[in-house]
Amino acid sequence: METALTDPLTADTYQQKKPLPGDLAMWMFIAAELLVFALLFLLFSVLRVSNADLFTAGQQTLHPEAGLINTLALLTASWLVVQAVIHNRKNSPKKAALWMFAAILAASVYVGVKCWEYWQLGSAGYELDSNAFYTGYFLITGFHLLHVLLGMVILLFLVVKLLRGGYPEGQRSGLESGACYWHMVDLVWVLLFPLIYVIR
Amino acid sequence: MKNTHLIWLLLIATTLASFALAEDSIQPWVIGLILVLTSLKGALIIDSFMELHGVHHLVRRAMHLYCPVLAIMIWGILQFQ
Repeated sequence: METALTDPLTADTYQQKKPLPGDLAMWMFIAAELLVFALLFLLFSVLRVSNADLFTAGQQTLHPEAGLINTLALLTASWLVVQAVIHNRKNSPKKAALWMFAAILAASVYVGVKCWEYWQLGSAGYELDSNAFYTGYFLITGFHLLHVLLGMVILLFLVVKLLRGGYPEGQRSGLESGACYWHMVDLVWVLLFPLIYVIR
Repeated sequence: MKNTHLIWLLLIATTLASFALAEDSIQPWVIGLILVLTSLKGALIIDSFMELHGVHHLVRRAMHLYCPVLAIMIWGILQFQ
């Protein structure tokens, strides 16, 4: 018995593993969402290969700087959400609510820039059915924008609940689930940014 | 959650690096490098922000494979261009 416990492989099985943050249901939802986005990215890539010139021309009508600002805004929003979770763990829900609200403001930058991009493209006469590039671009970024908007609603709900001290120790699963959803939205954009704006 | 400020700075730096590479992103090796940087960013978000570091679970393994596998598939498809 003593030998078994001192053996590193066997002893590892006795160690307490860190639990998954948030609810399992949220992780199943995140997995489903990531799968859908993966299929969209692959479809976009296949369309790009079969319409290379069309996609190159379409890409030149986009504003890479806008994509960069959006990436920085989403990464910053994710970092702010992390700070909110940390402060709540330190039993400072009011400070956590402030960090979470700052994350919503950072996310608002993304929404503003994305709406400006759509307005620019719309003014230039590019629409969803203009060609394969714009169909892919509007579908993928629009679908992602909907996720960002849903994420902002979730973050706002978390702000309200944090202000009411709704996530004491042992009852933080909801907060962690909301945070993980937001990070998933960020993760998807991290892949979306090079695929649509950077790689030519 | 440790070094979250540093992780955030790393994410910003890799994003700016990817953007700086955009000018030369016709070359296959540059596309590969951009996708490697993207996978690195994904790993940082998954381990540090989503707090999956230390979680002994199928979800963690699947999440860690998500970005690299997708990046390799995209890179492979784009090679037919």
